[in-house]
Amino acid sequence: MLPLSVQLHQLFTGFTFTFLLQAALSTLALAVAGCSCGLLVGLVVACLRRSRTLYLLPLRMVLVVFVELMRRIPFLVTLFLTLFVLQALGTNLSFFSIALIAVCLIATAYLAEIFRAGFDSVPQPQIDAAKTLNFSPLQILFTVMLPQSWKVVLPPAFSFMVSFIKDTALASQLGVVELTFAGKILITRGYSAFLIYGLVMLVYFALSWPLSLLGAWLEQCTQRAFNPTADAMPAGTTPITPALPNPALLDRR
Amino acid sequence: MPHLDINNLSCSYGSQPVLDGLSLSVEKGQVVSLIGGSGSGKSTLLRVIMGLTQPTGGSISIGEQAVDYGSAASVRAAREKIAIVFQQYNLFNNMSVLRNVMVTPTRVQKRDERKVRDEAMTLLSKVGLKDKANVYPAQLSGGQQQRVAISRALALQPQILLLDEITSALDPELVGEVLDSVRQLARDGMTMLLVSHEMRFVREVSDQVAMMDKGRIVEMAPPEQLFTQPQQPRTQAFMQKVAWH
Ligand SMILES: Nc1ncnc2c1ncn2[C@@H]1O[C@H](COP(=O)(O)OP(=O)(O)O)[C@@H](O)[C@H]1O
Ligand SMILES: [Mg+2]
Repeated sequence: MLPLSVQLHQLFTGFTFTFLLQAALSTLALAVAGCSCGLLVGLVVACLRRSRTLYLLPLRMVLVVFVELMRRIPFLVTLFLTLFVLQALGTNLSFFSIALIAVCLIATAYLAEIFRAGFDSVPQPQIDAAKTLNFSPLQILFTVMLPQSWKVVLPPAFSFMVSFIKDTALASQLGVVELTFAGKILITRGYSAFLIYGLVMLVYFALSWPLSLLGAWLEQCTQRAFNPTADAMPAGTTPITPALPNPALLDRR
Repeated sequence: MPHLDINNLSCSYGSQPVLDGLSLSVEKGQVVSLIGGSGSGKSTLLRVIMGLTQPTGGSISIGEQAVDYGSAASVRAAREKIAIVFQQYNLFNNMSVLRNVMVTPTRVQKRDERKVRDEAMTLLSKVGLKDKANVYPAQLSGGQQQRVAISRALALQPQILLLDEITSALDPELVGEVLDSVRQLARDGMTMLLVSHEMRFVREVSDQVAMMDKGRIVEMAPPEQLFTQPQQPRTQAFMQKVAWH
């Protein structure tokens, strides 16, 4: 093994550095794609599951099966299933694209379920009131249901997304050179395992820490909306703090 | 021509009939009160009128316009003319008092924001809640929330107002302030169909009182007549029970 000073020097110069950087970018791409797709499509799936329109019934059934199945099989199995299904269909996608698709499917299922629980937490009378006031379905979603679900949705959603960043490491099983796999390769090239895994750890941390901060900040914002500070209230009113759900109980994964 | 005309209306949850060929009409500017035991279908009737529960038969007209509850457009048109206030207020928890009152005129009816704000403030000061405009519902007492709910309903400028036991969830000392708001509306000539257990109030404010039982109107008469000389045994029994309270 090379002396540590040489390792460090090599690590931060030229090829190795680019190699690690690219791997980190792959991890980031998988996580960002998964989370954005999950948030968007998950929201749509959760909305469709609530619709009562008769001709959407077959679609709703497919979505229920999709969500319940995806949350019950290991990520790794989903990954290989995606690979084999896409290969059987005769597509010629790169392993990275296949990993990307699998990651989107998984995040969609989990976040759809988190949104569903959030929507279910909105009392039906709130929705009835909005209906009698002629709110359109989209207005009910954006002005009543979503604002009232945030406090139930945000904690488990961010906890899912933060752990999802590290779960993208499973893409290495398809040969995608993401962060964890890149670390392994460098160790076989003679780098110190301590050095590399330490570095890999730091990068994972750097990727997920801002997300945790964002989540904490958003949670605070949504709580403030229901729970304005005392000085924002006129004198003589007693603040009645709505009971906040215990985040630990809400994390239903 | 009645302002609100309900004809032979039926509704059932599963196999259990809740409204059973109910007919009722409310003239323009009249206050009609529904009384009757719990579970007799009073709330269901108001929910059907608002298009929240599907009727299984019969018809409802507002003025000359028959409402087709199978058509979203027709239900929308009905909801532009009729507003409802619920027993549990159902204010939007995520909006301030002012926003609760303004949200429908600005977002749904797309009216001018500044004008709506002035109207909303006028409505809130009428019910004595001008200084609570920027407070959230959770910070108000039940009586205050219910008065906001009345303001929210009135902000739509409805022709007909439905009130479902709007004082039932309130502490006794808060009932008066809410009923005062309703009295004022009655004086202003608003057509109202209300459900209430406040018999003294019903007697005072109503033009007609309808006794409901098992999804039908068993008797309908002016308050003095219904309270002092009920004709039907069911009404007599009900009055006797009420008198003891
Ligand atoms: N969502 C529902 N599902 C099933 N049954 C219901 C539902 N809502 C009301 N009911 C039944 O319908 C009947 C009438 O209820 P309701 O209209 O609320 O009566 P009231 O308002 O006169 O007390 C009751 O027997 C009640 O149990
Ligand atoms: Mg009722």
